[in-house]
Amino acid sequence: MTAERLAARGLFKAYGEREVLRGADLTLEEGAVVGLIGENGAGKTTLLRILCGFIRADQGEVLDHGQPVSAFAPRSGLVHFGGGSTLPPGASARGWSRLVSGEKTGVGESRRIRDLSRGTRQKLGLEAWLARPRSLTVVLDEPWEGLDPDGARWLNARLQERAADGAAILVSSHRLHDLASVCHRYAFLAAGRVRVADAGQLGAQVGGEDLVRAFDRLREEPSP
Amino acid sequence: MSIRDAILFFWRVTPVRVYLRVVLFLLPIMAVWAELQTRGASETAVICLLLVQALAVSTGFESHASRGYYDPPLALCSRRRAAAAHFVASALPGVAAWIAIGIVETVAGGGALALAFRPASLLALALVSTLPWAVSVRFGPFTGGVAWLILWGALFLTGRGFRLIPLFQGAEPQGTVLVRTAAGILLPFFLPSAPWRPVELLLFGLTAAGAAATAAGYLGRASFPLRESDS
Repeated sequence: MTAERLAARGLFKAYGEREVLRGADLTLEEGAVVGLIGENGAGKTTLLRILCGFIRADQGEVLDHGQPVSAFAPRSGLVHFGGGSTLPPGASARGWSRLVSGEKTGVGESRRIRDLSRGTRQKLGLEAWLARPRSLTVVLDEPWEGLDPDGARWLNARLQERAADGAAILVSSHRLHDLASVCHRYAFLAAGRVRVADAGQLGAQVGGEDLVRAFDRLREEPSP
Repeated sequence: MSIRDAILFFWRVTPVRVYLRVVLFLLPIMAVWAELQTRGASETAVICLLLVQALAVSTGFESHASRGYYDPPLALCSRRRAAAAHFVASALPGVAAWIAIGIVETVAGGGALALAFRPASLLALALVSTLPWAVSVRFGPFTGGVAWLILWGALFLTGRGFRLIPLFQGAEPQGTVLVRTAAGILLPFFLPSAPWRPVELLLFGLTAAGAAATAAGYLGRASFPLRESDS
């Protein structure tokens, strides 16, 4: 039996009148890569930021290694990258990566982040976060955004390595083919709730098209 | 992330603006020049530094955190540690300049207690470091310092500020504790040269500590959804 690393139980979150999450449950287990799929505005980023301790849910709880944790407590061994747009534009790329990765040399160039291309920024953020030692839980928001094919292959290899090392990984993305190449399970977020399907349930050779069909089917089904 | 790394992170990501750092660097040099001209004239440098520090510490927190710029310390540190590190990174250049001015005064004064190191002066620095920082944490960069400058401007343009000046003059404290404390908090650049009762100094210290604690408390329970998309 695999150990539970990070879990959400019955999360509710509304922004004013708009309910984003309505009882969302999600469990991340060691060694498993979970792909989070949902339409724009479905609440994927909100769910990720609640899991990481940046946002307080209106209701529900987050469990870290099976224990409830307060909304804003640091999660043990957490790696979180929210995409290239979350990198501070005025910081030096190398200086930023040195502090985030915890490594003495850091990665990236000495230029300021604002002077880097979109893809280079994305790679910088991923390299720095994924270089962190003792990472138990990896949460990435749109990690393939802006990466070229070599970068995407590099990321897939790193995620598979991390999963093999026992990390629990959650990846939110619209790029279904990329998700299909690394994920063991899929979490479909629709109408504020999460439905989870194993890759095996969606067919032995899961491809992007299968995910699209599965997502459409789950959206059409009434909520349990 | 250690407290040292968190301070370095905030220092690198949202440092005190470069032109303010240049001014803070020049103020101790100005103090040397002032002391060479007239002993004790470096009071001007101390007062200038208090004005500049109110702007320098107003680096802002929530607006940066809502863009995801502060995700690393928020993910890797407790909120309390992140708040402390952010305050230190914001206040450090001004504090360093203050210490330099104090050293200049000490050397020029032949070892006598420098104006910058007197309790009332240190409390003035604490007030101009904590109050604007606390406001800008919630309302954005420069809001705390600019709000205070507007308040000072309004007080003197309406003439009310001038009516407060007698409270700071004379060898002995004039006026009630509450009025003098309120006036001192409103116009902290009068603190270094005015006489103060111990209870007033205590109230200044409590005000500064209260402002820092309020801001840290706010950061301890604030959510930071991404501003670009709250989805």
